[in-house]
Amino acid sequence: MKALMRLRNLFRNFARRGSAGRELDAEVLAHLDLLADEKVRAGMPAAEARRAARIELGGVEQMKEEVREVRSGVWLEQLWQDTRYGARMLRRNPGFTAVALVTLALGIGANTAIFSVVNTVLLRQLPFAQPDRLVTIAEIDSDTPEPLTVDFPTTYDLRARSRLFQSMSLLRSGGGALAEGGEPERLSGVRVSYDFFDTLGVKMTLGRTFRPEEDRPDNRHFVILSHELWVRRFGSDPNVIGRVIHLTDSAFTVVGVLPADFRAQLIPGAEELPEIYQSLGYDLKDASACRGCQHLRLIGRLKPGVSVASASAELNSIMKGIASEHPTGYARDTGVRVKSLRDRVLGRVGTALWVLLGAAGFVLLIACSNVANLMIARATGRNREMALRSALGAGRRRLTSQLLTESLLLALAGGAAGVALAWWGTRLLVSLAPVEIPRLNELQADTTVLLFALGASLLTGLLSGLTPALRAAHVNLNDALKESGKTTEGRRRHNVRNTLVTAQIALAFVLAVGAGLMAKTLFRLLDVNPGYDAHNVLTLGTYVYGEHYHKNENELGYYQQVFARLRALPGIESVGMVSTLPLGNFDRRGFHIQDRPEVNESDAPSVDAYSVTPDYFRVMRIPLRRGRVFTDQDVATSEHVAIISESCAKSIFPGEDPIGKHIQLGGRDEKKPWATIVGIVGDVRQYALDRPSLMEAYIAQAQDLSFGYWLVARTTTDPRQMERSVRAAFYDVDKTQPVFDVKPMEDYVAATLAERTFTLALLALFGLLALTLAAVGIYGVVSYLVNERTREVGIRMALGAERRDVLAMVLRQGLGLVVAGLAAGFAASLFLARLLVSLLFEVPPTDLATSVAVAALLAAVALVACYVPARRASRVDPLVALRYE
Amino acid sequence: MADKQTELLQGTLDMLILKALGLGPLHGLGISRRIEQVTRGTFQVKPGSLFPALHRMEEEGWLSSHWGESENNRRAKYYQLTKTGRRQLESETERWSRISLAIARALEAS
Repeated sequence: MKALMRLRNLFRNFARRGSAGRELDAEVLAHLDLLADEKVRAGMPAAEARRAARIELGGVEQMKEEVREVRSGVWLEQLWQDTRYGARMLRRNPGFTAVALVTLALGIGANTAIFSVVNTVLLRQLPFAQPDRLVTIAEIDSDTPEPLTVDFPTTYDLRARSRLFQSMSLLRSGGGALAEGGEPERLSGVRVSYDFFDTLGVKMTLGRTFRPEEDRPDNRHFVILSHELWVRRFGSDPNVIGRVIHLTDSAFTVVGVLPADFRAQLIPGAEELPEIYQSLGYDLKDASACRGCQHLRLIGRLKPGVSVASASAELNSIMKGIASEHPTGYARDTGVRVKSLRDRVLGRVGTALWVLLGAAGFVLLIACSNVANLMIARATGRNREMALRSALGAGRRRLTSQLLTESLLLALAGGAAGVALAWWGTRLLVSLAPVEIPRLNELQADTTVLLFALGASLLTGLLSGLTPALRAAHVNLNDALKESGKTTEGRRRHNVRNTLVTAQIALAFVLAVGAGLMAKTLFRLLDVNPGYDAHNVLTLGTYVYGEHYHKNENELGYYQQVFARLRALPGIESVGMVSTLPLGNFDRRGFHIQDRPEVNESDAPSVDAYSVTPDYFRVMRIPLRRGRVFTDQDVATSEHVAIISESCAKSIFPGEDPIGKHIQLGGRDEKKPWATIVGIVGDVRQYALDRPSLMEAYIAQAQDLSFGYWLVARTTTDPRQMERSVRAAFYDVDKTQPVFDVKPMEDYVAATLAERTFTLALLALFGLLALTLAAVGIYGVVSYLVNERTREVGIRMALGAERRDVLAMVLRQGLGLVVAGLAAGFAASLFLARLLVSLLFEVPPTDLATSVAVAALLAAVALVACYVPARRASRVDPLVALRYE
Repeated sequence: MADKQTELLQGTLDMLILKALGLGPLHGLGISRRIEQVTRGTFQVKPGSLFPALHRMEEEGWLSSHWGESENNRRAKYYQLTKTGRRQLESETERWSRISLAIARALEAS
């Protein structure tokens, strides 16, 4: 009840504050009258009675203030007053307000933008049911660069024997050519186990998921459509369930449609947004279901309460059992890698994002100290105002709170502007950011981000306003009210400003060093020789399907005709084909040598295998070291040949000549022909620019036809310009066969560098911001110092100092700050650069060259920032200076 | 005298005001004079203490106010006890006598 009454009073008082004030005045006047009357009745003359009454009343203003404070909710009234007053003060100083607002908007905006990215990518849960129970499972041995895949029998055994998993589901590439009512279109797709969507916890919007009986080799012609495909190709037809469509060679029945918000790209193996999902349809008797034929991806859902570590331990011990039961099926040290889906999706991006958030935080701190310095400078000019208010009864707390309100007002306004800036900035970020940064497309403004912005604004207001507010409130009444009112500031205030500027420089230094290290990393990466020349090479993917192409010679004939057309094009220098593009997928196979039989076939070394046309090496400019490359004479009926890479030769044939040896790739099969090594070529970095070659072996396309090839064409000009004519070359020969992913080879290179490039771009932007803000900060402080010492300068010049002496004096002071800042920054960078290690390549985090370069840059910028006010000081007319008040 | 007054516990001033208004509404000066009168000059409440106290007690709901005419036909703000105020006066009186009794006893015992 009491609380209710208080609340009612609060609002009533606030609403009536104007009239309450007037009423109090009236009451006091009335009291005065009554008191005077009393005295008159006692015999005093009227005028004297009035005066006596007034004296007896005492300090009216203070009493009124006390009454005011007694009312409930006086703080609300005060807050309102302070806000209006603060707004008025800010309006009256548009220059200061504008600079402060822009500074704060930049700082808060940058932080909000990065935070919204961090929130979406790192903090938000993956959009599946209980996503922390989802894991990826892959087989790994010492020869596997990247554990990604499993084979079918192993999965079957793991599934049967594990007790810690609710379900495990397989995925492999699929897709096909859809020729319904329109152009034949190659659809990207995958084949999945029947319980795949249940494992993820995804429900169809139409229809249902696969049934177990629909996941068998003899009964697997069922598909689920993605939402986009359903809208695009089927016109959102609600009756699409049960419809039969023709995909590549066969008929499939549609059983379900996925929801629009299903994020396939988060699932390893489905990054290309499959449009069509077929059932896997494997069983143990299937040809592709061989042990060691790892080409499937496996995701699993852990039972509630099971940790990734315990699941990993269990599966690894099961794996040991399986390997001992099938000794020739596995390499000696085969194990299982279990990773949470989240970790697999995020990869290294997490580090980069936290680093960027830290960098943005630095920028905000620099912005805050700039604004704080601005406020301190302005506060000096308001000394008199503060003194007067203090004399009129404002307590120290009241003064402090008023100044703090002002800075909070500024910060909130800056925050609002910052949020707008961030909104625009993140839109830009998302459109420019590489697709390799996962989950960026899920970005949307939400309350967490807005709360963050609010919090950042409040914190900023407090940080930048507290020091000036506390200082201003401690003003000395006497000094301030004196007519010759130029207060000389104590050393204390100097130190605050100087410390702030030093801190700014240190922060800017650390940021710039971070950006510098990233830049150096990128340069090193671009410098790496990947083993081929990606410049001016156009690539595309193709495969053949249909009855006609079941015969090898028909498929080869098709490619030959396409080649003929391509070679005739003026913009094409040379063309070739390869079964696996560098930086694309990978195809690792066992390397078997005829006269070196292994005890355990699976212990044979693994190499990256490529089926290529003769001109491939010429197109990609992979150097031939010894022997020869393939020629048109290497056909199916002639001797089978192979080419290996240098690292393969060195590692597998140390001290002997590999040329002439007989090898097989994949499995050892005496019934198949052995290939003779005829040449050695240079190494190729298949997986990433910062991962060295892991041995390659090449076989001739004409002798060993793979499913699906990538065309590589060396162009004389920009590869993009040749896209249309190259596509046409294919369609002119057979327009029913698919051609997809037409892009320059350099796009693949850029994609591997994408994440680092993105981080660098943002770090560089923040570095630039920090540098600018720090420069402004230095300029401000040095200007202020110059103003302070105008009199001193005048005296010095009058006593004979030269202009350049004055210049030197000011510069010395300014650079002293800069040097201190650089030293502090250097120390901090030694400590903090360590956090970048996982992003760097061949650059140590404490790289001295970078630090020196950054220091030089900062010093140069600081010099310019100091020079301008210093020059102003040296230009001072001594007479004017001496008269300066 | 003035120094001693500032030591007056806030609660004591409240009680004196409540008591002063026990017989009917008074304006500010009247309350001050009544207190002075019944305490035989011991407590002289200055306007600087009186007004804040009056307004506070009005906030609490113990007093209500209205503008009226005083003697000499001057307008003045009158205060009077509310029902809650009367109850407060009773409980304050009772509390105060308990305290003074206890103190008296304490002083007697040596």
